[in-house]
Amino acid sequence: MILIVLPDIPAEDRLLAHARQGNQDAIMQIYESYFSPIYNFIRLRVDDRNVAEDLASEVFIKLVSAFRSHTAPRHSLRGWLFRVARNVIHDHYGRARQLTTETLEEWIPASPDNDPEVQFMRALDVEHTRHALRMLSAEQQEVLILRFGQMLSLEETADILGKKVGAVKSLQFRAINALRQAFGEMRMETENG
Amino acid sequence: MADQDLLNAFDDCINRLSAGQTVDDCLRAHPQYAQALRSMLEAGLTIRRLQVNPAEVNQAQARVRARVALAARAAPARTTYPLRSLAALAAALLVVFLVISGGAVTLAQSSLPGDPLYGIKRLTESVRLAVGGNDPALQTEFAARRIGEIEQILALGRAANMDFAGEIETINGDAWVVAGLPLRVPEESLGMTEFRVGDRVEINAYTTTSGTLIAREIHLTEPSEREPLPTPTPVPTRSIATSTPPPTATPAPTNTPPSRTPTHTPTPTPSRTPTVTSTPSTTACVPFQPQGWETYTVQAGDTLSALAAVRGITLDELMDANCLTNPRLIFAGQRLYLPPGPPPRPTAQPTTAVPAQPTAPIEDINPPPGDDNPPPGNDNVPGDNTNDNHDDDDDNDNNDDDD
Repeated sequence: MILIVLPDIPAEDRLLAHARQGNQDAIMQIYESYFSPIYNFIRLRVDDRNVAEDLASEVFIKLVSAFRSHTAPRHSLRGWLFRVARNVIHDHYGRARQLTTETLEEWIPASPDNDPEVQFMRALDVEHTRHALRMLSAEQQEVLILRFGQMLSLEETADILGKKVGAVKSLQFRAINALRQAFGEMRMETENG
Repeated sequence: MADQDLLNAFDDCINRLSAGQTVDDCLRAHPQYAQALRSMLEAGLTIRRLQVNPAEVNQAQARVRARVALAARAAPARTTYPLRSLAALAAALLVVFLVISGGAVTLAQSSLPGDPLYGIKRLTESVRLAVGGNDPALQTEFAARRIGEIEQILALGRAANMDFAGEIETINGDAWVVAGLPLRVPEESLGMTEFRVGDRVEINAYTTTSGTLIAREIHLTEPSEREPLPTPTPVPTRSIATSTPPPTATPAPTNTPPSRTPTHTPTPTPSRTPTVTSTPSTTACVPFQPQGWETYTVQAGDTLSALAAVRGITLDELMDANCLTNPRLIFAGQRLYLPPGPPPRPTAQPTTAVPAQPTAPIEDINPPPGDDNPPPGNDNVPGDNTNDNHDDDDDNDNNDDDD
């Protein structure tokens, strides 16, 4: 396991201390703060929103167990949560793979723009991106989601992926080029199709 | 393989984008790679645009919240003695068998609260006491064991509930020493009793993972010998009506009249210690039970002025006798001295000048004994140094950066 020093957040460390002692308010505060990024991460890796919900729930229930068994992190909670999210996704894909179709509406953020053309282009954009992303390896998807989607630092991403920073620099480079290639292949398909 | 400079430039550009800069800002910083970087960054931005519909996130968050809250509420973080079920009965029978065979007893000898065999250890002790006719020497030995166990679990940083007994050796605000153990004694655990150094007490307490021992309840079993002191030394007021933790340091106990009986009947002297004012230089108020008065337990909805009125005394007299400073601050379960009278009606009195506030104080107070609430982690409010930031089992210690 690669160990990387990450900055501590003093206010969060106090919250973690309370959560370790079984303070339910502290635990739920942590839940409210971190649900969205964890869910987003999982949702980009998993097709089905119900599965994503279950997996996200698993992550936080594991956190509650960790507080209870005194194995919860004392610092860098976000990294811990993302690592657990990766693991639950990996375990999920180890089991029966579920292929479901979902509607585009789930991916279009509510926007003041009522222009149907803009909405359509945005929908296409999103759909294309998701298709392309799915052509990448798990690690490549993860590094792009963490670096571009969650805007995490190189160091924190490396900590979550269990890699050295140099390895992550290479990985993100390969991943973005794989993504471009996937877009290119998709473009070729539509052109030839 | 692309050269390292391009890798570094791309990485730098990702950081710039995350910091709010534009693609052009980045290209200006690395002009030699502008063309490659542009297409790479634009591909990256498509990922950034992949945000899940916020409505979906909120819905998922609401649905999962209940599951997580349930898990958080499930078993409390502290350990309790496993002595209340059919399984425990079976374990007890097993212990009796094992006492005879001697096996598990030996294994259980060094176990601590929270260990699997601890229940066996305590059961073994009960059996030995029963067999030995409650030999006081045995009781002393077991009491000493409790102290030793507490020392060990404090050192281990384990959270557990503990009962123990011993003599009060030091009282310093809320920091006491009992039977050699440093003990924090919150206001709520004291009840109406005045404790002094030398008293023998029984204590229900809990340990925290930061190695603190905190009292829940203290019972006086044997008061120490006391001589009356002259007029009480100046000491800050002691209010018994607060319900917000953490309290300001409680003062060292003042003298009480020489003969203390278990029912706290008043001393022969008719004069009483002066009542409190808010300046710290006045003498302390000691609540005492006037002749013929009884102890009343406050119900939700009671007000001090109503209680006083129904019982035929003034509000001031009620507050004086009970050393209350704030007529608004009473809580359900609080005990007050009152003259006997018909129980006050529980209806609210909208015309009183002093409305009771049964909302927040009543919810937050110390639960009755035996209640299964988790230890009040709220004791460790920000500012209370629990040393959690000083331990060094952080698993992010090594900087392994290889480039």
